[in-house]
Amino acid sequence: MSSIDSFAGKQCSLGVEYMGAGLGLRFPHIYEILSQKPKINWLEIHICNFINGGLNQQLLYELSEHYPLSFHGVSLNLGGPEPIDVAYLQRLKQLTNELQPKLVSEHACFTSFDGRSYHDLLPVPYTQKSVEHFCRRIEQVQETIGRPILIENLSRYVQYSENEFSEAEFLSQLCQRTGCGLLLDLTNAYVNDKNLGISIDAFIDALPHQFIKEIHLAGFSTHDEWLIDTHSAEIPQEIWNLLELYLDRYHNVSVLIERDNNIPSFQELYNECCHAQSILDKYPS
Amino acid sequence: MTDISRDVDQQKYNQALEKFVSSVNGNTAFDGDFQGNIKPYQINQRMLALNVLRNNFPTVEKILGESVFTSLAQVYGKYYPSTWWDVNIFGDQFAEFLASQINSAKADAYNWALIAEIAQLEYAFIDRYYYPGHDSTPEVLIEFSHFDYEAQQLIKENHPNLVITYNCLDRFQSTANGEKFHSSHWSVDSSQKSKLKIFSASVFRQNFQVVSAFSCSTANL
Repeated sequence: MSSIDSFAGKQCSLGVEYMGAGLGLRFPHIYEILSQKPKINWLEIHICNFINGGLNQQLLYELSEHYPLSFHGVSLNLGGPEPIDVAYLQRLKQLTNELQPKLVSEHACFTSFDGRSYHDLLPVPYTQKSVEHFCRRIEQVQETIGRPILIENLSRYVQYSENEFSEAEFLSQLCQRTGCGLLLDLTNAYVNDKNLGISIDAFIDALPHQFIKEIHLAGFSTHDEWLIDTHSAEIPQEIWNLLELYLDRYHNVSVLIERDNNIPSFQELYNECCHAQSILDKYPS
Repeated sequence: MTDISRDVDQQKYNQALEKFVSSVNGNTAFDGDFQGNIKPYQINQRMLALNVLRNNFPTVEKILGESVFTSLAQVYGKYYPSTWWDVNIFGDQFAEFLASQINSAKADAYNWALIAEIAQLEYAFIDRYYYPGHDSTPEVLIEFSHFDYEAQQLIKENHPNLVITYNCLDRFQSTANGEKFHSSHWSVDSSQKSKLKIFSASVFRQNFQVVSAFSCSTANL
């Protein structure tokens, strides 16, 4: 089978439905959402915060009765050299089976090295070896949980001299070889453009768009003339503009609003979510 | 590709990551192997321990003040780096670390034993909130032995996330009615009125509010 045939076959297996604009769930808003049940198309949760059990997981079960969910992970350590944490993976499988999230996603990064957890999305070199390394581990995850996952592009402040590919080429290979989908974070791509000079136009053009099933939007901050992907501010106009440019060319991609620091009132985030939906509504589905 | 060349490639890959984390940790210079700016990663690491410990030990921070707490958090982060993927439960040795400050230059500045006890209780709540294996029931109970009443009051006044209620009368009423309490719910050592033998934290989902109920002796009512 040629790589193109394989690519097409993998595409069919993704089967991700369009959900419109969704909201990243954050702790301060859980009880408000559960008590008032506002109209939200879907909620994305940081699954690592819920996977262990305890009260937090009880709340997740309750949320799942009212909203479609997306599981977004930051701890699978797909790029790390140590074996994937099997206990974590088994719990992810269990929750995926029980709550049937619409999407499961992770990052193209490593988070742990030599027994230490960095709790940060650390970049990897884009080489043939790293492609193989990621593919093996993505396949392990997908086989365990029984469905394709989405892989998100990173905001990066560093590039390795070992790089053999661009990030877009790297991500494309992951899709082609494993059938995983892509989560395109437009803010990350924008930050990389401004900080590292990686053209956002070239990056987006080089991605396999049939594999992009979700878009992330967030705000950022500025430190010493560097844009830092802090998710700490409202989504700036240039990011909304990027979304419109993207949707001009590609349709039917679910969009998520993220805020992780300086978390505002629920209403403020809800308004951003509604704004994203109003943009999506301008384009044919 | 042979197995040997695969191994060599894997080694190169691992070495590239190792160089990167070594730069993040400040152990080696950020040099020609990379282009860009390592500082955002270094700042993240410095802030991580402080932010998580601040979240998990709000009463301890209130007592020590921002400056002392920040210094201790950064030392703790350096010597007890996170080794598990779940950042929420970072700080499992923070109480012991605080207790050991009795040997530090600030030995006489604070009641470290009391502060360590508060840290232990605050961590018990975190542990209960996130830890695997707890039953999915509406009520969560925490057992906590040898807990100081003064520490309990400080948490009651300072912890932003716990609503503390005293439910002794309910407990006694139930006992009078012949209902048997499980030992994890209720126990008072009448000979040590200032000490609680069991701490019971109840979390009621239906109230959409985290409620922590301290069992207490009648002397504390």
